[in-house]
Amino acid sequence: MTAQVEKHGTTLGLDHRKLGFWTFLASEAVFFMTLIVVFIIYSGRATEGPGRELLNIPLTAFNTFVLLTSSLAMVLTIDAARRGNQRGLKFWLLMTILMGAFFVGVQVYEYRKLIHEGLTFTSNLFGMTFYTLTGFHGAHVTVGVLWLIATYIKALQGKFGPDNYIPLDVAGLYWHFVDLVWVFIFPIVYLIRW
Amino acid sequence: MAEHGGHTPGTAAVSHGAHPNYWLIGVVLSVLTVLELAVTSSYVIRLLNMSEFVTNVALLVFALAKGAFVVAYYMHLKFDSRVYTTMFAVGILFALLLSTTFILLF
Repeated sequence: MTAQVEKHGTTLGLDHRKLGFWTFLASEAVFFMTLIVVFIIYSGRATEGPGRELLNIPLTAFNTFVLLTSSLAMVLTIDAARRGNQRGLKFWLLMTILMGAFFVGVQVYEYRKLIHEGLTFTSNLFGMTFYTLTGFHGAHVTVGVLWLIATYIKALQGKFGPDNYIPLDVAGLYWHFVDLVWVFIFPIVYLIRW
Repeated sequence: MAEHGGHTPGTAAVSHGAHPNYWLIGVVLSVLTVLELAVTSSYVIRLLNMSEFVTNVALLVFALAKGAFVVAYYMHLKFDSRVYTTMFAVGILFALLLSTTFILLF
């Protein structure tokens, strides 16, 4: 057993970085599930002021496609790393970053438009729960983009390959998780009438 | 040998050598998203005479299906060690208990 396995292994025989990250994701699931339930409970009680009729569903649907596609780009990044395809690795990682940044950009545009139309954090319970839920998700996507940029810089230095792709795998888990959360936020916030 | 796929040698976990057709999964996720939008369109609602309840249930089913695809194939839980699945499942279970409590209280 090499020093690297001893360094990153656990008594379960698993890489401790992945095991630790799955534990973190479990706690994140609790965090987002709580925010989603609070949105469901309170958004329907907002009887006065602007509400979900202001939400731009076509734009958000397009943004959903972008985030889903970024997840595809992320798995293709890891697949390229496993195969030792440095060019593919860099290309798909850059695509993931660009699509993630686009998603955040559209969310900022959406917020500006909603605030201009009168839906603010303090407008009513809908505004408060909407911005809390989508804001925390957007913050997670932003952190993900920054993480991927740092990973991309390492990729440019040739630090990932068939024998060292776990850091990419862990970054991918985070990225897929924010995608997973959005998979539920999109219908619950934008499509379902509670 | 260096770590490979996150597992030390001799573990029961399946390596990353087995993986699905990611492009196909991407297409499935896109189709499910199109279906989500379709069941909320007034044309489809009128055509299928769908009640709001049926529409909402359909949306949740599509979301659960998409979530399952992402977790199983993109996050590799279908191919990785069961320990990771258990770890995540415990979190989801706790989240469901907490959510149920909130709904009952408020």
